[in-house]
Amino acid sequence: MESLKINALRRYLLEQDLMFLAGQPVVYHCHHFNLFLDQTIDDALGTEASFHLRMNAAREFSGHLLSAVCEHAEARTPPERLSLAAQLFKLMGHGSLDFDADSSGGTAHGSHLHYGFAWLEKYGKQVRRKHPADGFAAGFAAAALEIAYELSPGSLKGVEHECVALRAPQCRIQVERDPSPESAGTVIGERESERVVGAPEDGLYEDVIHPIVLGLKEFTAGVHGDDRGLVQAFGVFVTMHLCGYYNRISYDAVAHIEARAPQSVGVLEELLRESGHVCVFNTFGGILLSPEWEGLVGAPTNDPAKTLAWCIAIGRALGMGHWTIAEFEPERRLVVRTSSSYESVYYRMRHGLAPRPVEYLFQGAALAMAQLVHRVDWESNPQLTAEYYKRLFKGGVPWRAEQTKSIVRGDSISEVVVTKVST
Amino acid sequence: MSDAGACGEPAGSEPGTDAPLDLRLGHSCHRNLVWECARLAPAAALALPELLREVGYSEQVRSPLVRELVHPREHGVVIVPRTGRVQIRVHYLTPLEAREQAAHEVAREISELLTRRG
Repeated sequence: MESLKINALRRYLLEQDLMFLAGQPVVYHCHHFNLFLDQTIDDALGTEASFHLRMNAAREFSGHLLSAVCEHAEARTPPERLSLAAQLFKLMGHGSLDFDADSSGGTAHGSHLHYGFAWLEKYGKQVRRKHPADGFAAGFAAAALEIAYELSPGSLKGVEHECVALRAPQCRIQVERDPSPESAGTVIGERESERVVGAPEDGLYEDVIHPIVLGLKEFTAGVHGDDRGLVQAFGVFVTMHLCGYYNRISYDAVAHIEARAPQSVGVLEELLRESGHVCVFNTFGGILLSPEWEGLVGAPTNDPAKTLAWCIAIGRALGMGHWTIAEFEPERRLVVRTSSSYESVYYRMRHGLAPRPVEYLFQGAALAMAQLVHRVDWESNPQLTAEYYKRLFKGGVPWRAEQTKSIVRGDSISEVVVTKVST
Repeated sequence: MSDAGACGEPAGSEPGTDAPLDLRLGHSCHRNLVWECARLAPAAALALPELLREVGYSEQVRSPLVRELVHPREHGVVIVPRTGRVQIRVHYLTPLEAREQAAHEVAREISELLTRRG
C-alpha cells in the first residue's frame, strides 16, 4: 500500500466550487471557526450532549470518507486501514492518532489534535476548560476502527478521557461498543451534490475573480498537515474538514432547540451566522494579509470593489461554493449569490425543503465581507486580533443581511442582500 | 476607513539590542507567532533564499512567487521576491514567552547573512 497523497483524492465540482475528497464533501476552515462552532453547540446543548452529537457527526462522515479512501487505496487488512486513517487525519490537519485497538475497541492516543491544541493555544492562558475538546477526533477514531474491522457503522463510540485542553500531556480516546448505535445515515457525496446545485452564473468582476480562484486552488493543493498533523498557514491553523460534520452539528442542534426551547432558536441561528463572521475575519483576513497573497495576487488594498472580489475568490477556492457578486454599490448595498453551497447540499439531501433560509454561514459571510471591505484599513497592515474582531462585529454593525433566495427553500440559487443601515 | 486595528508594533528589543530588520508583530491573532521584517531591496530579497539554504534552511517549493524556507528548529521564513517582504513564522510548539526571542534570533541571522553578503 502506497503512502497517501491527499491531492490525488481532491477535486472540485465543475464550476460549482464545492470540494470533495474521495467523493466526500470537504472544505477548508481555520481553528477560530472550528472552535467557535463547537463552542456554539456546547452552549446550545450543554457539553455532554454536545460532545455526543459532535462525536456522532464525526463518526458518521469520517466513516463515509474512510470507506471511500480505503477502497481507492485498496487497503484490505485492519493494520493497512488503520495506518491509512492515521495518515489521512494528519494530512487533513487534524493532528496525530496512534491506535492501540482491535475489533472490540481500544485506545487512540492523540497528539497535537487540532481542537484541543488550538483551544489551548487560543484560550489556555485565560480560561480553565472543564470538558474535553476533541469530539471530532473521538468520532474519527471510532469510524477508523469500524472501517478497519468491517463493523456496522455506528457500532463503536469514542470517549475522550484525557485532553491537552484540560492540561493533560497527551489526548487519550477510548473506543468502545456503543450501547445505542445509530443507523447509517444517507451518503451525501459528489453525485448527490450535483443534484442540488443550480446552474452556475457569472457575476461582477469575474475577470479578477476567476484567475485568482485557479491560482489559489493550485496553491492549496500543496497544503497539508506537517509531521505532527497540523497546518500552520496564514496566521491560523487550517483544516480540510468534513462538511457533513459542520452541517450535522449545526442543523441537529437547531432541531433540538426547536423541539425543546423554540424561543431560543433565534439566538442559536444568530451564533451560527456569527460563525461566518469569524471565518471571514480570521481566514479571509489572514489570507489577504499573508505574503502568499502578496506574492500570488498583490498587496491588500483599500479599494472596496477589489477587496470584495478577492474575498469572493477566497470563498470559492476554499470550497464554500460558487459565490458571485450580483450587485455592489460601495457604502450602500451588496448582493451575493451562489448556485451551490455545502450547507444547501446537506440540508436538501437530509431534510428536504426548509420553511426558511438556513444557509447560516453564507448569510454571516456576506455581512462580514461587507464589513471587511469597507471598515478595515488594509493598507495599514492591521492586526487581526480578538479585540479588533469585537470592535468590528460587536456593537453597531452598519449592515443588515437578508437572505432573499434560498436553495433550501426550492429556489435555483441562494442570494443574500446586504444593505447599509444607520447605527 | 476609520476603524483600523492596531498596526504591527515594533518588537520589544532585548536588553542592549535593537530589533533586527525592524522586526514587527504581524497580522496574526495567534499570539506572537507571525513577525514582519522591514522590506528588503529587490537584490537582497532574491539572494536571501540561497543564503538561508547555505546555513541549513530547507525550502518548501509551492510557488516561485513566494519562497518558504524552514529553519532547522522549524521556524519559517517566507519571502516575496517581487516586493521584498519577509515574514518570520515562529514554530507553533515554541512556548509563548519564547516566541519573540525566537523571532529575534531568526531576524538577526537574516540580517547577518545579508550584511556578510554586502
